[in-house]
Amino acid sequence: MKSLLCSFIALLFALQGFVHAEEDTRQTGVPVFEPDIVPLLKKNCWKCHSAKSRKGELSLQTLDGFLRGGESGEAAIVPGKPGLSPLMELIDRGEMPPGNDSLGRSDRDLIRQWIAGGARGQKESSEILSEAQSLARRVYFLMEIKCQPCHGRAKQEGELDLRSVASAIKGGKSGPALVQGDADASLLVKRVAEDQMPPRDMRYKLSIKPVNETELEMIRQWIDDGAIDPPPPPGVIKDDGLLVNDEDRQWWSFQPPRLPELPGRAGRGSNNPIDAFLLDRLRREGLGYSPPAQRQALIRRLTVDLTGLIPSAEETEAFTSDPSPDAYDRLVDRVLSSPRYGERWAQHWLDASGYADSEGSASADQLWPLVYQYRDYVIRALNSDKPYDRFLLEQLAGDQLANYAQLDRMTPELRDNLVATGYLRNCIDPTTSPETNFLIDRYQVLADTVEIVSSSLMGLTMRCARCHSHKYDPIPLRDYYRFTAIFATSYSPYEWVKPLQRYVVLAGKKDHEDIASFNAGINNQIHPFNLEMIALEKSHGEMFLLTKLAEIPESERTTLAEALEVEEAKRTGDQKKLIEDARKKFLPDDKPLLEKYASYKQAKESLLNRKAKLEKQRRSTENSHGLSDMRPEPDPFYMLRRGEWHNRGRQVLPNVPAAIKREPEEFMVQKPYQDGNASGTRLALARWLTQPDHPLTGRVMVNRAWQHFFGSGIVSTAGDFGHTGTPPSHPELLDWLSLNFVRQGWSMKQLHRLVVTSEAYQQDSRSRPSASEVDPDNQLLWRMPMRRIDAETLRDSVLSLTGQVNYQMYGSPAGVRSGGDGQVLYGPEGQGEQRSIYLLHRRSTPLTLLETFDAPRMNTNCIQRRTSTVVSQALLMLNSEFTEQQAGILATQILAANATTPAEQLEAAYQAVLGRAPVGEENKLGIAFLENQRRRYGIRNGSTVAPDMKSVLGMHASKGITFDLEAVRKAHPTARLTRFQGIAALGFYPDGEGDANWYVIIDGEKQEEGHLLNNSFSHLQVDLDDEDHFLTLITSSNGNMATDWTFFGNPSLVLETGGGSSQILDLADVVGGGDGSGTGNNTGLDPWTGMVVREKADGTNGQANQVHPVPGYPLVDCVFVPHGTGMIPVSTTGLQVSGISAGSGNSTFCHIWNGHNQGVNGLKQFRAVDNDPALVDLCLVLLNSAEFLYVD
Amino acid sequence: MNTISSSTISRRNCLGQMGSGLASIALAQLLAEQAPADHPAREVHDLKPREPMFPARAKRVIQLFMHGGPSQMDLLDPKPALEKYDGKNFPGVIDVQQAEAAGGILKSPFTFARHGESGIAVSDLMPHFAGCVDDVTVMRSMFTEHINHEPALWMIHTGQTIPGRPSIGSWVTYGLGSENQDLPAYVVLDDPRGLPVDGIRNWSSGWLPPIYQGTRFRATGVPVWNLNPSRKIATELDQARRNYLVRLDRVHRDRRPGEAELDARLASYQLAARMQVSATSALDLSQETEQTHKLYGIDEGTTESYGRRCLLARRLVEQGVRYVQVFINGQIWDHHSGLEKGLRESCARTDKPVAGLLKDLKQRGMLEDTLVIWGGEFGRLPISQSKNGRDHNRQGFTIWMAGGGVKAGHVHGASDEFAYAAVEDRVSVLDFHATVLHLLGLDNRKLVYHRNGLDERLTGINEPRVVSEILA
Repeated sequence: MKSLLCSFIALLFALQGFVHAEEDTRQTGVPVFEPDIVPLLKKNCWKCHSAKSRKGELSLQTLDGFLRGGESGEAAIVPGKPGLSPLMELIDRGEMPPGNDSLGRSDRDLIRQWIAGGARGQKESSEILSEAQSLARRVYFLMEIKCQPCHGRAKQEGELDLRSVASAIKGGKSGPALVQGDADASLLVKRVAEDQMPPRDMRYKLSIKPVNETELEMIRQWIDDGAIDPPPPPGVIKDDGLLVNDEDRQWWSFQPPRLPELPGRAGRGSNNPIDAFLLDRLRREGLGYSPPAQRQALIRRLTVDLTGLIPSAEETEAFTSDPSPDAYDRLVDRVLSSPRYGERWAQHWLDASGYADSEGSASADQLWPLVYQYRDYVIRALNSDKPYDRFLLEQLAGDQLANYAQLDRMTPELRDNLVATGYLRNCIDPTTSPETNFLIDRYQVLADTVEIVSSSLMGLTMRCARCHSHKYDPIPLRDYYRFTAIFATSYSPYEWVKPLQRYVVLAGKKDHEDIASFNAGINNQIHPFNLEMIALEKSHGEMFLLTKLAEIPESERTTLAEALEVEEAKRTGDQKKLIEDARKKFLPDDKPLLEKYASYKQAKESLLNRKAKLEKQRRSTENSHGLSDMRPEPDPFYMLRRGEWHNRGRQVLPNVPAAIKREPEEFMVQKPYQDGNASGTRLALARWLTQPDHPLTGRVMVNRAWQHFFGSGIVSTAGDFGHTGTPPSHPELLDWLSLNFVRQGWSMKQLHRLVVTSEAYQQDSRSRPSASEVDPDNQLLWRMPMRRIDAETLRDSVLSLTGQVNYQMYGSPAGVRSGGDGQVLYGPEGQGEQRSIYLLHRRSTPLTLLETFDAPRMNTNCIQRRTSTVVSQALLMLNSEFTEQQAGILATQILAANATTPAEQLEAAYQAVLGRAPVGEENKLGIAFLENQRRRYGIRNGSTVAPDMKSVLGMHASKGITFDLEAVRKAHPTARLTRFQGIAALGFYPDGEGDANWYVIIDGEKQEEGHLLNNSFSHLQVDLDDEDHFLTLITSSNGNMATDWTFFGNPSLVLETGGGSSQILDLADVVGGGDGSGTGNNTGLDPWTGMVVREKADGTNGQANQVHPVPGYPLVDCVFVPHGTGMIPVSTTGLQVSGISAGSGNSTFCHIWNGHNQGVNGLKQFRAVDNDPALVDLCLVLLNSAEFLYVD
Repeated sequence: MNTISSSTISRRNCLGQMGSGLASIALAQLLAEQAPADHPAREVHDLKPREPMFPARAKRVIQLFMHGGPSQMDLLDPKPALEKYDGKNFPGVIDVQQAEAAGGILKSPFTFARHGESGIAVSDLMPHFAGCVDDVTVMRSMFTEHINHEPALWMIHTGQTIPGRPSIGSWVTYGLGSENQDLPAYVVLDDPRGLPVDGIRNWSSGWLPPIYQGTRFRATGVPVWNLNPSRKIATELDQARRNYLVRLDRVHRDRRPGEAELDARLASYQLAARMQVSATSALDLSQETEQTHKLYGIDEGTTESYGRRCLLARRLVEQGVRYVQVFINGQIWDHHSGLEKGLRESCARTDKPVAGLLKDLKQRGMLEDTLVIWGGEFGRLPISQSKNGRDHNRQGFTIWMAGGGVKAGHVHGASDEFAYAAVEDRVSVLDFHATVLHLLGLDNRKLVYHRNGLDERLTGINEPRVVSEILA
């Protein structure tokens, strides 16, 4: 960034040049325009730069033309300064005249002398500002930046407005700010000279630099010279068709798509038009499609492309064994309707729109807490197949679809609209920090916004035209700034709102009222607590003072004691003062009371607790990180010559690039509603972009979709449809897809379905030498390209195949943390890991795994990801904690699923990672590896694999109930808990096939176990230590889950009550609704069904009650879900279980307490890595395999 | 364009005949490296060594980055005028960052003496460096664009005051690749005490392919992320895993002829294995003599950490690493107050190791073709800040360079009489970049990367000047 000082010096040079020149022209022998220069121009320049031809809008026919300059509005020469004259530079570099017609040395020297001599002509140029005028303009610009933030349109601090000489003379509260002709008498100068203005304390905050001496001198001179207003700025720039003409509009991507005729034949039984186009082209090269892909490859390809996950082994099996002809169509339907679809395609959209959760620039890289709303919006929109035109409309102008500020109620639809505008807030915005909140930074935000919009929606590289007219595409500088002006009504550089203050409130008028009245109700409820608190403190305080009488001087002691005796209302003024003084002395705060009176402490805590609970209920309005206009009319907006913030050119009006616009009325700014801040500029843009035959919108979108399916777009430069981009490989197909997209209601899902049901997409991916000779890059799609899975798919797939993924959708981003060595890892432990799209995307700390696999850093946005093959990927996959951990989990699951032989284990690992069984050589390789690796580790196959724990885990299913012994101890503080005892029993089954196991577990460690056959029982007894916390009773079925399980009869805790006596607490009785005394009938506890069984009087089984927790008593619900069983965790008590996702192979142990998942605290996990590291290695290798990392 | 399939098939046959073993893997690696040879020279995205554009004096770079803005008038650019006008108002305009704390002219608390045959004046804070002045070019006429740390950092590293662009180290490795395929081409040795302002972005490859980004080698502990398995296992076990993987991937590849990408993947796993050995060895300072350790000050507490990194830098370039950047924690040269004490400490930490590096390179004959650069992101002001400190200065600062085709015992350019602004033979940051590239045989105008329709360059759209006066 250039400092203000520097730029003013530059301005000074530029504008004062002429003054110096005037002095110089008095020399003799200096060339003059008409006699000396015109003949030369006529010969060399006028062909292109006459008043008529005006190429680049530059006419060199008159002196005025030189000074008016060309399209950028920058003068071609600076009189007196050949070195600073752009024209001279072009001539010297041989760029003008173009071609081989460069000027001879004498001609060049003549022009140089003419400029150096002040560019004199016989007639004076009207383009030249007088010295006073140029000074006034400089001073105005200075004041605009340094004074008007507080004394301008937005604010008039001290009632002072410094926008014109008149208003400055009128002055503010302190009187007139300036006296024309007398700088010393002007308050403005005085305040600046004394360094009171701009105020020291505000400068940093407002990012205003102090006025330096040069600038102050400039102001003084301006005032001394009479303080004139500068000449009005040149008016709005208009086009005369010179810069962009119809020839420019002929460029293929600026022409509306035309519906092509379908080529004759489609493929094998396919009537998908995609195939008709592709095959037609292939046949012309003598080529055809590859054979259809294997089903296993097909489901993997489809699932990865549409959901960003590899399919599960079960899904693969179901599809590959489905004989019905519509199996694939149904698969496509299923995958398209999966919520995972929206997550996958949202990631593509977020790439293109530059989404991140942080500001991006300053070293702090501050987080923006509400951005995630936009991410959620995109996921929802894609899952619900929101039409693309509507999707764009909401993102570009959601705030202008209804006057949200005037509405009664915020509706979900309206909320979506407002949140959607977050699209326009995805760019890096460092302006929170005053050090990076200067005009240059603000213009950069605008420039990034333009880049995101133009590259993601229009496939244009407009940013080139920020400093100079685009070199290749017909986008002149002015069109760039017209386009920028569309957004400047929201992002006004001169009235900047910082990112965290820039939000839209998601509430209607009635919502506000409701919240206010609700909160008033809460306040009413809180008020009595405050009064109570005061009274509480007063009464205890006076009590306390009585105990302090000894420390009071004798003279006052009695009077104070008397005063305290008197009822408060009856105390005299003196008495009150006396008490007050004593309070001040002994009770500056209530600490002594808290220490002395337990009753006070307790009462206070209870009051505060109740108060806090109420306070928590207070509601507030929700904000959104969206964009809205700042005022109803667009601000005047100017071109910036050379892209420099201080180099203002002529005014421009919001508009879209002329090259893409066919009729002027295509882009019409209209106020969408009255009485609100909405200019309608962005709405006009959205309407323009979503015209059904817009040349770019549809093409760009279908091309990007194509890119995501086939690795490369029909236009391979997906972000550049201009002259430097690559022309489409299949132009008719692109047009047809684009128009069909619109015809199908801009439905993304229809588009995706069309692509994936084409034969092209279902081809085999293997190369064929014959075709490869003709088309080595497979541009014609004679095969499906093999692709590496992207970063998010990699991480999410690993987590899904080990069952560690937590499919919770939406909400604040899941945090990341820094590993010991500086790597950025997933943050929260336990609970499973959320999909990558829900992770915190802080620009400065991308997840190491994702970044290593080419997830883009969001510096602006990413239209096309790069796929790299670098050593850090290999290192990460082989050696990182993440892959090691996931391989360990997978191996654990394989062991738990009772895969005992190496062949079984190999197959299980292949199924989980690759979705298929090993074949041929792979079997030999895998088994050999496993056996040799085990030998190297010194493990004999299977035998040392923790048989005990394995058998628990390996059973079909098991369930249990856990009791909190601490709670028992609390309920019986005087007794000592010594023992658990009871009977484990298996009921009588007529078919005689009952078969079940039982376990007693203390704090995760197995204490006792048994195996029961039909109609048998055994006594059990476990001594308890004082440290034991959780007692768990588990039953498991070896066979028939419906009937075979153990129940525990009279499960009792023995409590020693002292003096050799003890008390029995029957747990079944307690949780079944009894008093725990165990008197009366026998009871039984059934962990499987969660039933308490009471014996009837006749000894037969009697009524069964659901187990239910007794508040404050010892039941801890607990369900154990073994690996890979597909059991859905259900609380034994039927309470709502939160925080666990159901599904196959989800969990290790789930520990549930009163319906809430407690994780695995206190429970020891069985880990394969402790027992069979060789199997872990096998799993790790498969995760590293090319087959896993690539999609055929 | 040649068809890929024929070459790939022959490669596969060749490997098949050779059977397994390291030789064939090395060959596969070699072939994979050669595959993209028919692309334009510098648009390939690998780290294979590439010829410079013209004969070059420097083959590699060690950049000693002095973060915070070392004070030129207290270290390398003595100005008697400061003494003379001490406490007086600065005559003329001065561009300060925090005007509130600005005071009058502040003389240097240190004394200068001329050293060596060249007679270059160096502050008494850098006695070790003073012994090396006959090997360096001191550039006293540097200036930059921004007065705040971050933009100035972006400027000095990437050529613009905006974030997100590739650093010079990335450009150099993009242009020249690396001499050693067992180590990263661009290594960053950051301080274990903390990252510089803006962290890893200082060595980001921006939008250049990620293989050109700086790889952090930590000076202590594990040098490279994930270099060793997170679960400690014996080498033979680890090797067995790799072997198994290679076999599986070969089977997989053989079923997919013509996929060069799969060969590259195999090769990257082999590099990973080699790096595990090479990087570990490169970082093993116990292979150096006690004398060398002493030369770098590794035997003393104050200089141990920085000395270790300087020695590591030498070991890395010795093994063919192209660009090494040595960082120091935080902004140890950012003396807004307490200049005297602060500068003393910063010099105490770095002077001996820096001089040790120069001497070591010289005695090994490596200084000939190794370019050493010392300097920060900007300089400091001649006036006081908060009484005894100095504020940032973008108008003028001093750096030095040594070896790699730079004049020895030379002073380039000059600042004004207060060492405030560069006045004679001014060198912009982009001039500096163009010069570094030139020394390495790269033309800043031709080292381009095509992106979004633009030919991007380190030096942007500007036309910087190679500072030919300093070329030996």
